[in-house]
Amino acid sequence: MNLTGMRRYAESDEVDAVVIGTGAGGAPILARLAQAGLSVVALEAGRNWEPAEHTPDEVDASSIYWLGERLSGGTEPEAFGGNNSGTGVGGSTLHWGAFCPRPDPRDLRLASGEGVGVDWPLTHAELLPYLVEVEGFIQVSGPADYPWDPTRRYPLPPVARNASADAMARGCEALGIRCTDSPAAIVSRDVQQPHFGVRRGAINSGATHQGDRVASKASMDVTYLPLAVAHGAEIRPEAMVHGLERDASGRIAAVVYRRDGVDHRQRTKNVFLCGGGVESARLLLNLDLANSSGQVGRNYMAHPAAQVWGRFDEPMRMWRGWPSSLISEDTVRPPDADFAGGYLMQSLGVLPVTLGSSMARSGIRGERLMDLLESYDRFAGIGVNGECLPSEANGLTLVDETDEVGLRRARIDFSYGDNERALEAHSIATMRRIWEAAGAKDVFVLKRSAHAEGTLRMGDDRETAVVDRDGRSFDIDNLYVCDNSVFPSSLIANPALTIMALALRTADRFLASA
Amino acid sequence: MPRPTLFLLHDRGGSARSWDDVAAALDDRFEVVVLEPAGAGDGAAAWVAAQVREREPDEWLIAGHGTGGGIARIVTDWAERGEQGLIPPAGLVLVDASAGPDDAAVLRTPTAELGDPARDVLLEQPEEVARLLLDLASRVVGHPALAPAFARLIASDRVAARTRRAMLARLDVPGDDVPRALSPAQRALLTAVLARVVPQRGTDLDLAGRLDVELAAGQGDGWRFAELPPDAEAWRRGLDTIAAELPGFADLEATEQDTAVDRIAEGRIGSDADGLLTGARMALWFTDLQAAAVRMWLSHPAAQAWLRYDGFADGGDGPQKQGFTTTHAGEWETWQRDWRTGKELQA
Repeated sequence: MNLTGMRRYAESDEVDAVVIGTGAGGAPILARLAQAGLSVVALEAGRNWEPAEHTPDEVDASSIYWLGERLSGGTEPEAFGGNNSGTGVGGSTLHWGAFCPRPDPRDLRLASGEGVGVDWPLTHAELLPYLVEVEGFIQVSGPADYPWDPTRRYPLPPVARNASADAMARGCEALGIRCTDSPAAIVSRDVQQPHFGVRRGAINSGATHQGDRVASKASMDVTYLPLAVAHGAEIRPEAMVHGLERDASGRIAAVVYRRDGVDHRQRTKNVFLCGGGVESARLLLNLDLANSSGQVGRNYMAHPAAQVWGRFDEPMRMWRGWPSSLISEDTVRPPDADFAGGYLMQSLGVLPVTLGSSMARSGIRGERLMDLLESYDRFAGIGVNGECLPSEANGLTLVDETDEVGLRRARIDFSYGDNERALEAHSIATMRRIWEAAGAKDVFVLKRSAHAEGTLRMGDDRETAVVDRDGRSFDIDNLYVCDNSVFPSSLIANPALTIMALALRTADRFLASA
Repeated sequence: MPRPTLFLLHDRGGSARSWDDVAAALDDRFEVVVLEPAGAGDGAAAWVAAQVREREPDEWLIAGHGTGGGIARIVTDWAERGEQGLIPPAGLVLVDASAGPDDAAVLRTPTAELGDPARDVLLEQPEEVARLLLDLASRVVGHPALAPAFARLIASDRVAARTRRAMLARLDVPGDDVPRALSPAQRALLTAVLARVVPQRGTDLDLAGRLDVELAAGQGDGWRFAELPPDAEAWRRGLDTIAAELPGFADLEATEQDTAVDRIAEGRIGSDADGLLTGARMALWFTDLQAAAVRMWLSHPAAQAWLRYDGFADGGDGPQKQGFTTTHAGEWETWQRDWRTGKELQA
């Protein structure tokens, strides 16, 4: 993004706030605080990009993935890298899928509703105005009538469906499952974005996922960050935070980061930690901060996200069009569920390297792999995001290996419990039925999980949570956290929209308290 | 099959006639095009590139005499990178035109050279030059690294320079001078294993060699199994475990190898010995191996052509990205082909 002419602060200036990370959590906060007239500096570990610099080449696009090594354990070890976390000004939103469903009210009250997991300390009604505000500002495209929420309106008409969506719609219709155009954080026509310029309407490319060259996708570098910079925020790319200095009272006084091999120290009155579900917790554990509850790194959650693929007679060429263009929320609470919570379904189009690697990880190899890939251009997929219950067994700890700034690396242990296993089996059976009804052949299943949540839980009880309902640390009153690490429960909606809404709320609560 | 096109460039002060005797000795092996660029350097090369582009040869070679050789080198360098709308040439011939100190580009194109500082080889030994050209052609013609239509797509204005560069760089075969992580024996065993894990169709790449170079470079993918040591060490131990527990793997029949591979993947092959991996760790490592091999294979443009994939051609470097205008099954864009066969698409 364009950073020329941006306001700059001296390291000796005590700024009102330093925001660590410029993704879905950091960017809206940065904008909100700057708009309120505060002096704010964002520190981003990754480099700055112009949209046109991204590439549809899957391997080369790893330049926007967080490639610092993580260790994955448990019976469902999570794949990171291209899955889950990004780097660069805009954070993971540079490579998010832009699938933009709202969180379901029932998912914020899982303990009350189903007797498992935990409730969020804030209500859906508190979040709703922020969700609507985000959808308006980033200009979400979606259907005129949303079958599961008649009051909902989207700013733009839906983006074009692709071949996977058409096939999935056919299968759903035959089975009586409701489906519709997905809410997409992709503009379906050219629009003006305040302080950025023209965002082009979707060019129907599946590669949009890994860096959108026409800014049709609402990554933070084309939405909230230009807004922030226009109001006087400074963004420092390639600044890897590895220290938080405290004053005699224990409050944070400065943020220490490394840039071009040199350590810098920015004085600040407040810190907003928005590094994502792994990095935020890793930093606090390394610094042994904000952990009187012993909960830092605990309760790691990832959505069970199985995919079911099938081959069709016609060429589908699923790399055309926005891959996730069809949604069904009929399985948010399946009537025959033998598990708590539910799942969302979406159509899929996945590019060859990612899909092939995923097939290989699932144990498909040899001639069978070749036989299937021979029809790659005839594939279509359906995928889900399902509820994941927090578990004592799952969490993030540190190992002795260190990274280039001297922070110990993270080990993430993740295993499914009975609920995740039952949910996954149910979701696979549903997707299989849809593909059968749609006439798919050679159906195969890829089991996987996605998103990294819950490691710095938000709650009302300082014994069991790391931050309060406003995102403020119970231990350090000028430290706030906002990213998917604060999620008390996983929600089945993809996290980005909720994180952005939560970010605006966190900023507003901070401003109200100041 | 149509004949390859041979472009001939003369030396400064020479003329198209300089090549007359060579051309006469070439039989009818080539469609010969003698070009007369004015001057030297990038300007002359751009003019030559335009001439090549205009003729759209599926397969082409270029030969240059003296300063014409310098021009041919520049054009070849561009074409290897897909610049100027060119597809890579099959071969380059330099006559009295060895690379000078300013010719920094290391070229991947098969190259033949002939020169003698004391004489004008082109004038005095045209049969030698013709033989050199025919020899080179007999080695390279008919084995393009990429099908011409697909190469042309990559070179087209639908593909951005960054993407083109990344894709075409994968046509390079790692040389003997790059660092390796595996011993020759480990690499040979890996080759045998990968032949069963990824029995390539449409390509015949040295995936083991490429993965070895990648491991030595230490480019991780952002995570590893907590149970395994860092990547290069895990691969060495995994291969050593196969060597110890399944001696003679490489000599087994393919079906027996498949059975052995299944047992590795199921965690039934392993060892508690120092420096080896247990069965459970072997199973984890093997999922990494499978995924890495498939990634390496499918990232190669020739494999993408075999997949009939053209999602990288969603727009070039212009302000407007072309994208795709059709998204539904059975529809296609006018520029799309069956890249596996190069044929037009039909309803």
